Amino acid sequence: MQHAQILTVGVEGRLEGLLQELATAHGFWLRGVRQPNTCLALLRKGSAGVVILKLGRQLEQELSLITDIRRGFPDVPVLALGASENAGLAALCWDLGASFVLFPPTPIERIREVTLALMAR
Amino acid sequence: MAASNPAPEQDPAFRWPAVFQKSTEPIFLLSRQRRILFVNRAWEALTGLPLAEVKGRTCRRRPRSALVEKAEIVASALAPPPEALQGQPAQARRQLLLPDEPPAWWQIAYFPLAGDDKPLAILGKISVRTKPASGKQERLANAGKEPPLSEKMLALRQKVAQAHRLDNLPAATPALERVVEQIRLAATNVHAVLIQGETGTGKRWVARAIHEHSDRRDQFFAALDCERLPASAVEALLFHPASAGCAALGTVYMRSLQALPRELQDQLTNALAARDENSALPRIVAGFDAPAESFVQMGTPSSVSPRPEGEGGTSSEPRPSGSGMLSEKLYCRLATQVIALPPLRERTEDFAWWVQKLLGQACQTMDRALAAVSTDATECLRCHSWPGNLHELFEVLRNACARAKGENIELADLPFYLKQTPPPPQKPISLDAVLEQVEKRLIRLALQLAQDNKAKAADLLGIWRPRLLRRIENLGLNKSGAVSPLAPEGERGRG
Repeated sequence: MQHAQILTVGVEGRLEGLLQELATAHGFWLRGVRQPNTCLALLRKGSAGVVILKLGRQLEQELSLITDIRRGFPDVPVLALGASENAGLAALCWDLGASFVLFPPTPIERIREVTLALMAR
Repeated sequence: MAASNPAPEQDPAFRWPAVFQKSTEPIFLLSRQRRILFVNRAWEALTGLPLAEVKGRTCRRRPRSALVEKAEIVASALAPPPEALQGQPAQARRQLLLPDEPPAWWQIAYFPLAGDDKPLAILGKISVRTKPASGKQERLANAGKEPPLSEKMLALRQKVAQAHRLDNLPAATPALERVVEQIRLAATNVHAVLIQGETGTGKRWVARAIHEHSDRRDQFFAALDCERLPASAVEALLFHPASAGCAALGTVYMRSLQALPRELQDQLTNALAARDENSALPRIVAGFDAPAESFVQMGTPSSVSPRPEGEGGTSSEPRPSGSGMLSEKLYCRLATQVIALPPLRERTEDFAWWVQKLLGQACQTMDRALAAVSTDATECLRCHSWPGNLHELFEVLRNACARAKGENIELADLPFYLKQTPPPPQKPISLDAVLEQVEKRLIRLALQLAQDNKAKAADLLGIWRPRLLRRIENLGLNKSGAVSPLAPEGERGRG
C-alpha cells in the first residue's frame, strides 16, 4: 500500500517532531529535504500530497520553489511557514502561489489542522 | 451683449501652469510618449527634485536594479498603467524606495486628456499613503519592523504577474475573445466576480489576470481552495489579515465557496454589501466547477440548508453549516459579473496553441528539451474529450515529457487511456439550419425594435413588408416574435 507523502523543505527541530507525530497518527509518509532543488527533483519522480516549506535559509530560492511547484505541479499544495513576523513576506508567499501561509502570530500548532485539510482529497 | 468674462482658453492672461502651481496636491503632466512635461511646486516639494531635472524623462517601469539616480526611481514610479495609455482614467499604487529614505507608498490617479484618436497627454495626481519620516523618528518607527522585500523577490513577483497578461492568450475563438473582454471589464471595477467553468479550465488564471489588469495590481493576490482549507483559517485571512500574520491583500480568489459554513458565507455577504465603507476587504473572485446556480438553494433560511443531490440527502432534510450549498444572498452578491469559461473540447481552434504552450511549460518543469508533439500523437490528443481540460492536458504532456526518448513526443509516450479513445463522430454542419436561426433572431430583434410594427420592422431589415410576413409565417414566428411550438419543420421554406 502506498502512503500519502508529506514532503518538507528546511523543516527541523520542534516542528519536525510535530509533523512526525501527525504523520504517524494518520499513516502519512514524512520525507524531509534541505535544498529546494532536491524537492523539485523528488516531485519530478513522483507526486507528494503536500509540500511544507520552511522559509528563511535561502529565501529567494525558497520563494522561487513556490512558483516552480505552482507552475509545474499545480496539484501539489504548498504550505509556507515563516519563522518570524513579516506580513509583507507572508503576502508575497500567497501571491507567488502558496496554498496556505502560516506566519507568526498564528500559532504553529495550527499546522496540524491545515496539513490534514490539504492532505484530504 | 458681449460676455464680460471670456473663457479661460480665450483669455490671453490665463496661464494654465499657474493654476496647477497653486494646487497643494502634487501634480504632473506626461506626454503621450510618457515623458514628463510639467510638475508643480507641490510635486517638487514632495520629491525634492526640481522640474528642470526631471523634464523630458521617460516614465517607464524598470527593474529596481537598473535604477541609480533618484530622478530615475521617481520617473519609474510615475509610469502610467496600460489603461491610461489607452485613454481611460486609471489608478496605481506604487512603492517608492529611495536610498537613505524610508519607503513610501504613492496612490497615483491618471487622467488622460483625449485627442483625436490617441490621448494628447496624461495628467497625474499623487496622494501619499505613508508620510516619510526622518532621522531618529524614522528609526524609532521602524524598530522591530520587517525589512522591505528585496529586488529579486519583487522580480519574481513581476515574473508571475507577466505570465497573467492577456496578450499571452491566443483569443482565436469567439468564446475566448469574449472572456478576454469580460476580464478587461471586470478589471475596471472592484465588485465581486463569479467565474464558472469545468475543472482545469483556468479559473484561477482568469482571477489573477483580473487582478493584474486592475488598479490593485500593486497589491497582493491570494488563491484559497475553500474545500481544502479550514474555515477558521479562511475567515482569519479575509477579515483579520494582521492576526493571520499577513499584509492586506488586493484580490482573493476563492474556489468552491459553497464549502464554507453558512455563518461565514453570511459574514462575507454582509462584508460585500458594506464594501464602500469597508475598503479593507479584498476584492473577491469566486470560482465554481459547475454553474453556481446548481449550488444555490433558493429561499433557504440562513444557517440551515438542504443537502445537495448526490450526497444521500433529500431536499427537505435540513443540514447545519458546512453543507456544500451556497447562500442565495451571497450568490446574488457574486453574480453581478459572471465569466463562463469554455471547456477545452470546445476550443478546437486554439487546441494546437495550447498543446505547444503547455509542452514548453512541461519541458521546463521536467528539465527536458523537446521540440514538438508528433502528428500521430497530436491526432490522438485531439480525439480525447478532456474532462480535466487544460489541467489534464498539462499532466499528460508532463508525464509524456518524462517518458519521451527522442526529440518529440510520440504516440507511444502518451498514456494508454488516450489511445483507447475513438475519434469523435463528424458533426454534420447544416447551412440551412444555421441561416434559419440567424434569420429568426434578426426578425425577432427587428420586431422588438419596431414594437411589433411590421412595416417598420421590414424597413429595419431592408425588405418589403409582404416578404417579412411570408418569412414570419414560414419560420413559425408568431405576432410577438416567439417561435410557434406547432410550426412543423418541413413547412419552413425560404421566401
